[in-house]
Amino acid sequence: MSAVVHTRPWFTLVRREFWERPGLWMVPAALAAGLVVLGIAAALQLAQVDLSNMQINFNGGAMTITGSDEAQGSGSIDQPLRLLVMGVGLLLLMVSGIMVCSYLLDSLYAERRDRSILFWRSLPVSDSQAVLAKYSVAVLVPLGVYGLTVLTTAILLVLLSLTPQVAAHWPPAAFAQYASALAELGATMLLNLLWYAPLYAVLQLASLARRTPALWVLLVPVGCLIAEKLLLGSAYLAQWLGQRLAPLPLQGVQQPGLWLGVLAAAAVLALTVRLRRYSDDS
Amino acid sequence: MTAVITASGLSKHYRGRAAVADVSFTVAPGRIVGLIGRNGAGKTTLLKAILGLTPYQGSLSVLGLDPNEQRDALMQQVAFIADTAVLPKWLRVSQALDYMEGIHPAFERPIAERFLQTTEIRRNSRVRELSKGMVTQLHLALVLAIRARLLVLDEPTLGLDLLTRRRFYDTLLGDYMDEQRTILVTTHQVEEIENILTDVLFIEQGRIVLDAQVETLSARFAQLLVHPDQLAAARALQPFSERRALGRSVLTFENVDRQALAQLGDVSTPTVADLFVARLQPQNTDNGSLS
Repeated sequence: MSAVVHTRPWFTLVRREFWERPGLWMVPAALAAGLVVLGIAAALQLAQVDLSNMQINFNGGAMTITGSDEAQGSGSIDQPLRLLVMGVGLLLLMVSGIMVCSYLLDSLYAERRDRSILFWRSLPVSDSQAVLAKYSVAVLVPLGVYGLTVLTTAILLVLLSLTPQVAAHWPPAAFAQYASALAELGATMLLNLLWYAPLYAVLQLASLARRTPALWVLLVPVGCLIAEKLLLGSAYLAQWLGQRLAPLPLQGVQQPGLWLGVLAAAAVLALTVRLRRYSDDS
Repeated sequence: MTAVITASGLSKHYRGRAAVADVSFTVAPGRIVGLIGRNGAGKTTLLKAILGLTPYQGSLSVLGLDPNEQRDALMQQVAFIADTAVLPKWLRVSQALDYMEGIHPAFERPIAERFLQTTEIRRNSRVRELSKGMVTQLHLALVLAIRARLLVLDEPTLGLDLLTRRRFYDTLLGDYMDEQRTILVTTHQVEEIENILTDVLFIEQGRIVLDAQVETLSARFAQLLVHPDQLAAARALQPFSERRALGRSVLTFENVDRQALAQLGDVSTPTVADLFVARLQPQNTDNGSLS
């Protein structure tokens, strides 16, 4: 073995995941492209309507134009800039988040379902590499979606600034507001990557189930909820689950539950690596 | 030279039943070893233990490594074809090459490319679009391009037509085999590969019932197509197997003087397939013939 061979295991392993499930990047990209098309249509329409007494409402990235009778306020678009960023960003993050969950739930199951595990396991990839590479997809997708949000909102803003009505009402510190909204979205996204780490890890663990991982993920918590209700008559678990599954706002960063969750996620990941050790096609 | 595989007292139990029971053997480098047994005899379990895919009791060393503890290091030097159906359907040929190149330090892409050029496999095809024979060729291309010291094949040609099977083994011998490399292969089609095997391991109910070099088989075993009137005399020489073929009795002997046998009928060397059948015949056939 004389020649130095350059392998790129992490890059290759992660790329493999996107080969298998191109939807993970194609769906958010298509959605963002749809929003841009919508933005172009709206800008064109805007340029054609009467300029007086118009107000633009931004709603989840899609724009609606209301007539003068509904118009209110001064027409400054200070808040809408933030709404645009949050609307586009949260929509894309939510859609990709659901996709990531279903991806993780299938991540260690698909390879046994199609028996390809015997091929993957015939190669020098450790179980920790395989498990962590799959988990890292759940981190990379939101990061990519964030970049996509920056791009999409930038295009939408340029489009808007080209329409005279909007340009007339452009707030003085538009760029600063835009940047601060993006920063807020980015921080929220990073925080929730940590917040949802235990959920992601549990979904991936469930994908090791012999069959129907989704059933496990649903039945185990529901069974616990029912057991608690029957035995103790209480509903603490439901309350806790409700809190745990809802997104964490930026203020939540000091919550001890956040960091306990990260520790739990690490423990679950370690367990997943261990359990995959002897999983095969049987 | 040090052995490629050394197993000693190797056992594997599934829910109390022994799939592999106290097995010991060694495989030397440069050999082509056929692991031959019936369905459920323990072949696949034994291969899985060798590949570190299943825990086991006893001691096992593969290329000087412990498959249980050093699996990742081991897989850099071992290649494995389970059967043809395990390449994922969504994988494109070009992606398979990219993946191997990115993952495997011993993968030499030009070798795989060159081999694929002799086939009709297109780079942008997905595995699901390829015929079963083509998938095997692709898998073989990937495996041949790994400078692996040990190649493990578990029923690699199952479900393939005769021409593809023949080509598979021809390629294996021509492009892969050299004195540093070792092949361990299981197959049901013993007749097709017995001329390429250097060693045979018969496994039955988790135990090795024959461990021999093919070149020693002719000295060790003899098959006698016995004259009907000599049957009793032949049976007195204690054959370990007897069967009827074309109205005559065929007896198989181990370590019996051929000259003595030649008096009783036509002596030949049993093929590996003959030996397999003779060794693994139910015991009661022997009893029946002796009564």
